[in-house]
Amino acid sequence: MNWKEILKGPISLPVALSVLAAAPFVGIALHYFLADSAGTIPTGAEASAIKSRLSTPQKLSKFNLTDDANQPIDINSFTGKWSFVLLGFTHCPDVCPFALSNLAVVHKKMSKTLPSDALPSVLFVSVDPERDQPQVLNQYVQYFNPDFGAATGSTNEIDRFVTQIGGYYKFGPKRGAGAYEVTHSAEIFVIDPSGRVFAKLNPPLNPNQMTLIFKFLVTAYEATSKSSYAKTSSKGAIQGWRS
Amino acid sequence: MAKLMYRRQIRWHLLNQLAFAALALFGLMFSQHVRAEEPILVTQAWVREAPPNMSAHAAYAVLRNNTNQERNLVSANSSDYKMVELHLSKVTHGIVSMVKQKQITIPSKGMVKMMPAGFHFMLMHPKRALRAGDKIEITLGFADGSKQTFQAPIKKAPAASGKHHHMGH
Repeated sequence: MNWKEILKGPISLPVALSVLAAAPFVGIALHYFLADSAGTIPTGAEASAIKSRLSTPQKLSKFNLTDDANQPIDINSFTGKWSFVLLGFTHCPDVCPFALSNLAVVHKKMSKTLPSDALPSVLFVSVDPERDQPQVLNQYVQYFNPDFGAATGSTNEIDRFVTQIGGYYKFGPKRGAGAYEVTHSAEIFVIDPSGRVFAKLNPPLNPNQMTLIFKFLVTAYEATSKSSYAKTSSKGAIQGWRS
Repeated sequence: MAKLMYRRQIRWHLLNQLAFAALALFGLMFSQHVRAEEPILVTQAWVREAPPNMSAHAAYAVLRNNTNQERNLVSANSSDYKMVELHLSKVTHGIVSMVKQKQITIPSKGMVKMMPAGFHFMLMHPKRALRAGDKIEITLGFADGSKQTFQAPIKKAPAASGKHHHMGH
């Protein structure tokens, strides 16, 4: 059969149409297949986990922040669970929403394989308290994931917290209409259940690798402080930031 | 019986022609994107849907320069926002900064890919609530005084589609 016959033959239309209709699905399936098989290669994740770890975990101490439900946040809010902390400000149109929406994807993916009590809490800490009151932060962070929390505080307390986690921020000059930018750390600070900065992850997080990276970090942590983790986790599960 | 077969064949024939017409129409739709008179070809334009009541949004697009001369983008505006600026987000040594750009140069026969954590339009003070599915118009202003308008749909962020900063830098 030549090309013309195929086109004119009575079966050409259904065949052609079904091939045409199936093509995008085959493409999508292939894409996911390739993406998933890439995600199962553990070498990358393990290497990333090792790279992200701090040689000496930094213990958090005294600071007082307020979360997006107007509740106080201090060192006790971080013990007994894993937390992912990121710095930012809500007037940041590009990088902060990019990081948070990626974290939402990562979190969703992690929740498929990890029990809810093993999932890290996500806390967005605004370094711009003048514009980011708790209610503003609440609306902001809830948009990305209702389980995500946000916090801010006085300049003094923010400085204390940022110094302790080894972060950085700096206000840019005021521009027209009172607008200003804030330069800040891009990393995700991983706080372990003993309230220490255990690792720093550079965004954007790879959703296919993140569960593995996190598991490597948890294993590394448990190897060094098994008893204390068992004690804290037996107290009960802490799921979202608020619970 | 033979008549019936013949009819069936005619029907298939018509359907075949219809399918070809549809394909041709498709082709025409795509060719509309490549308008020779526009020196800058704007594709993949989108505005990141922002949480409610946020005063700063970001838009992205791929700007392709088909001419033999470099083109300098110096301004942008949209009737849906009070102000639009050109910005570049940079991550250096784990610190992110956003720097206002006086101009973005699109090299001749080259392109600039605006994307999350890179070049973007900073859209300030929306005049109406914009949600995914809405559309805005952005007008680009070039150094030579020429202008060009394109449409950008508001979209929820696709997963991890930005400039990649690999872990452990």
